[in-house]
Amino acid sequence: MNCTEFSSLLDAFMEGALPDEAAAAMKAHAAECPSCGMLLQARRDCRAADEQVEVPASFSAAWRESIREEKQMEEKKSGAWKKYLAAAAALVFVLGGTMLTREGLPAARRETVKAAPTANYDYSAAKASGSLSAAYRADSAAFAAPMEAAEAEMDYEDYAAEAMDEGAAQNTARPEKIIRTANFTIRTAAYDEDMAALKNLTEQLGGRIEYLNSSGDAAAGQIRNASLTLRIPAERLDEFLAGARGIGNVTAMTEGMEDVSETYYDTQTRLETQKAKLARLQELMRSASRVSDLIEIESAISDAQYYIDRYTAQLKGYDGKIAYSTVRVTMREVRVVEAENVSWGQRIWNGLENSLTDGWEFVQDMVIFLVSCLPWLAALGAAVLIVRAIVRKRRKKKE
Amino acid sequence: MEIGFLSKKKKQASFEALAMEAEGQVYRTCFHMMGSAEDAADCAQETMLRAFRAFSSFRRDAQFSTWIIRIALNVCADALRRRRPAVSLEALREETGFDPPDRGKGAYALLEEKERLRLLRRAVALLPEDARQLIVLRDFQGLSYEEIAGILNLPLGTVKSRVSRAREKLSRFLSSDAELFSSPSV
Repeated sequence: MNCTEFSSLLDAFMEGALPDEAAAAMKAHAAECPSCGMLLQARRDCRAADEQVEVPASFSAAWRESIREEKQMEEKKSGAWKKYLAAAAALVFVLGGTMLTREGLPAARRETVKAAPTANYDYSAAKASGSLSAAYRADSAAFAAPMEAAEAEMDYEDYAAEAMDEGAAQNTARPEKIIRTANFTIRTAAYDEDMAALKNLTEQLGGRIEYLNSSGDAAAGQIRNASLTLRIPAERLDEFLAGARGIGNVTAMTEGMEDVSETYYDTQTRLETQKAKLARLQELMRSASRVSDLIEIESAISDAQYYIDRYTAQLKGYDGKIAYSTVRVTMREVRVVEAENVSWGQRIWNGLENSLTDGWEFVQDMVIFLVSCLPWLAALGAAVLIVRAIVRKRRKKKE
Repeated sequence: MEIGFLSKKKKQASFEALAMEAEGQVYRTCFHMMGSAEDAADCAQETMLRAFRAFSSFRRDAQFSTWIIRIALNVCADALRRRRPAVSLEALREETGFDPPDRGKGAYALLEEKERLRLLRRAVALLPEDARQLIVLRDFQGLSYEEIAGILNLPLGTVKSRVSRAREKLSRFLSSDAELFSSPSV
């Protein structure tokens, strides 16, 4: 055996995997060769050195203790993390719930009008200062305010005369049947006064209020609005519109007219025809002898009466609309804002005041939200406790 | 099954059960790598702690001893890097001119066991870190080449050739020692 062979078989020799003959050859070579002998001895010494190492008795306890400390630190970290997460979730729940439910809180608290309307507002002073577009007077004598040519895009009197001239060529025997209407909007800072003025104007000119719808609660500081439908005698409509321009601030006005002459007279003709027909049928009725004739005539009389009633109603409707023009008025209350220069310090103070007010309101809303959630939170808490108790019982049983 | 699916309590119990079986091997590995009982205790303790922290990533289909020995070798490597590097005999020769006479390889075996073991540990301490790891795992702890390949994440052939080279270095250190040589007691 040479050194190379010895070296290659050394592992197997150390593991006792060589046959006896080969093992003996290995031993013999080791005894003869100092180098291979040293190798063999070193290998044996390595194993002996490993076997002689004594594991300290304290080592086992020490690493277990360090593991337990590590576990406690981990639990503290995860516990802290869980606490932060729970706190964040609770904050999101409270803030989010408060924000979402704010809209459902009583409107009276949130809709405070910051600028209350002023009573007995002096329009003359406002007009003098140029802050309003029209002056207002409370007494009815000033209703017939002169209509300035610049404000009117159409002069109705001239138009009516022109229409009559055109119609005269077509039918000089029959007067024209014209239905006039008007719509306008009034913006007013003195709602009550202007409403009273409008009503007075209407009554004075012989008109009437056919429809009135108002909204807004002055006591609560709310902006008021009103929609009116007025019936004004047609011959006094211009007078009414001129007077209305002096009430509040008329921001829009439209006038319209509809010529229903042809329809009107056509209906009138039909009515007369039906009346004539009725008279003739009544004569026939008196002279009829057979029952079948009587029945037939009676039926024709009913039809004629029906059309007479219908055409009469139509004509009456036209007459009403022609005699009384329909005027639709929208009245809107406005707040008078007086601009003033606000100092920087005042702005800061206003901002701070608003923040504190909003903050206080938010806190109140949050309290209301939390109190309203109490039944649900109590139920949820009870459910969580029950589930935890069940889980703990099961864990104990398994252990 | 991944350890990560176990509860924290079960994870700790599972780790302790496995670590108990491997604690002796861990300590001995650290002892042979570091060369002193005190350093071995520190490194072994650190190995157990690191293993516990990384236990979630341990796959049950692998061998625990292989996994924890790898951690032990890494811990020892970190400790050795922090330590002042050991002076090899070659470096000693260059610095001081010390050149102990080579009295022959047979002298080693003639020494008493106690002296031989002392020389052996000193020679192992002079080995480079990678060679030391191979000698400790193969010759001291008797692990198979396959197990060593798994621990060090090396091909089997590479492990065998590196073990052979490490043994040559070790025998050179042993035979270069100034003191004792003897014939082998076979």
